[in-house]
Amino acid sequence: MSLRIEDLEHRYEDRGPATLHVPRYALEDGEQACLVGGSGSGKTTFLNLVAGILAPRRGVVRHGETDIAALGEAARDRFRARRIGYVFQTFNLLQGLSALENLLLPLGFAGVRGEEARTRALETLGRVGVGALADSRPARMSVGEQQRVAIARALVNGPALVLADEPTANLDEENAERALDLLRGSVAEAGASLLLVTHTRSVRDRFDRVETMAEISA
Amino acid sequence: MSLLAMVRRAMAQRPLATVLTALGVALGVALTSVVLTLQHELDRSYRRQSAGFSLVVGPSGSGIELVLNSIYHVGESRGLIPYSVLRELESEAWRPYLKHAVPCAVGDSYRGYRVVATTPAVFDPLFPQPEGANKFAAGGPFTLDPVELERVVAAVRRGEDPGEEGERREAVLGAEVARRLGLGVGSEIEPSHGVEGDHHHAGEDRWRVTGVLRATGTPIDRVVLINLDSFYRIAEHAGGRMPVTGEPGLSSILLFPRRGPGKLVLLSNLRKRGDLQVADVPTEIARLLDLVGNVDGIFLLVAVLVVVVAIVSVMVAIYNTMNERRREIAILRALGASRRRILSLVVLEAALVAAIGGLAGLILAHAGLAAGSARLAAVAGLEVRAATVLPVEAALLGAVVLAAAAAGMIPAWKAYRTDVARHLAPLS
Repeated sequence: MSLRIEDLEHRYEDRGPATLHVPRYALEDGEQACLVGGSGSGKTTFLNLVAGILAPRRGVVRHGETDIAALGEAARDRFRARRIGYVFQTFNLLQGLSALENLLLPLGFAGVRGEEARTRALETLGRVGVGALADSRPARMSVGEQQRVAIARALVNGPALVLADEPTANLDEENAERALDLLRGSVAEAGASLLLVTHTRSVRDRFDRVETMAEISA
Repeated sequence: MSLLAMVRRAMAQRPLATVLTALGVALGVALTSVVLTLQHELDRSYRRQSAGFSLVVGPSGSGIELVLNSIYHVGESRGLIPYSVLRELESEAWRPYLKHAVPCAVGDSYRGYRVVATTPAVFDPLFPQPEGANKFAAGGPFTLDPVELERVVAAVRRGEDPGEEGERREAVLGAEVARRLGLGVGSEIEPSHGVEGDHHHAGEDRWRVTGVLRATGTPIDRVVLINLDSFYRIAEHAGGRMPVTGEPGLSSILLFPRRGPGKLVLLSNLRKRGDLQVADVPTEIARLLDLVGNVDGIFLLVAVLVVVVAIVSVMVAIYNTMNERRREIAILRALGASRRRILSLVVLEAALVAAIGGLAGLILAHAGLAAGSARLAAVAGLEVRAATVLPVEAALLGAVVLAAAAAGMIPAWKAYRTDVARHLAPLS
């Protein structure tokens, strides 16, 4: 599923007249791209617009055939649950839930429940190498293991697009490298495209396609 | 994951807060449930225990006191009316209106149970306790020779000792008296003077038990009945005589009017008499329950206030967690949870805490009532069915859950409005 963005404009509610404007951005089916920008450059906002968490003031955010900018909030939520996986910075698992339950959540939001949900969640955990941790709480896992679970959670619904926001920010260099490889490998294996934002050079260097926020916005 | 499972997890993450707020609800609901149950059982039991009684005649004073004294057998007797009133009421003139009259003379007790001196009229099928014609669990009524009674009364009136000639000291026991004291037909009892049992009669004053009444759950279960002539024969019963005339006295007479205008005629005629008082039992009971109801109302108000405070505390406890949960909520939203689902999560949490607390409260209340029921029966003559959950209690539980859900809307609204983009921003 390709991503097409046209004439996207967003106004920050809490920053007065400041706006984010992206005239054109495209991501092809299965493509992996990196967006680079310092803090305050609007890269997280851009991801939230792509995910449909934020609604733009105007513009088109087309996933395949669906322009989610034209959808209501509830419809965007449903779309996100089914078609988009999201990996936040390191500490984004729900602490009160086991690894398995962290995966059952987005499955539930996408309408997958019961035994089928369980099977899919366990299978996805296994695919990223943390099948043995299904019943563990995040607090009992290493940081690297937590991020594997987070990647599994982003992939469990079989999304067409995975968004990653500084996914390696809190990892040491070695773990960051492994997590990134895992993320890219799993996303490719799942046939999804990947859009990752970061300000870390080592991350950016591993991507073929790299743009800065300054380049895509005007 | 189901919504309920998510709520259970959220609650389990803050076990102390969850338990404490649920406990608050439990206490409020328990308190309310106890007040409601006691109110209901008091009403039911006082009405049931006075069912079948119509009028009571006694010395001038409070009607409620007269009823409590002669039907519930609580409190001290307030004075006497002359024995001649009984004869008068049994005369031809009253026959068209009055079907039956049962005299009572009190003043003795046996090991804490009240002794009531009366005539076999108390065993008439008309007398409501025990109900019907079949009154005895064992044995039968005491005997009383009317001629002998008149002779004793006449002798006492003249200030003479009636002597022991023709004397039969016989007693019938209420079911509880027999059961608790391990007595039966043929046992001998020795009552003492004073309803508190503070003074023993001189000499060997023993009454033989001729019968034990059926258990009824009414005050008669806790009474010892003796024949009236044996009561008048006891020399110390100077207190059983009218002060000036020395005539034998009665504490009260229970009247059972004929159907139709009988009760009204008796009531209006007896009300004109200055020397005695007539009390209409159902009216006095209604007045008493009204009085009690006012006090109950205050208890109920306090109990309901405790519930309200508990529900507010559930709301506040959840509200206070909202700041730390905002990131969690933002993550849920990013994973595809709709705002409405987030709202439901918080509302459901409030309702669930209240439901758990409320259920615990009902269990607590009824366990407490069960534990205290024996004592309530002994002290207040109140028969409490602890195992019965009243419809109003079920309604209370429902109302508490609904109110908590409504209160939960306040933190839920805060959760609903969580700015996802802001709270997803990396923690750096």
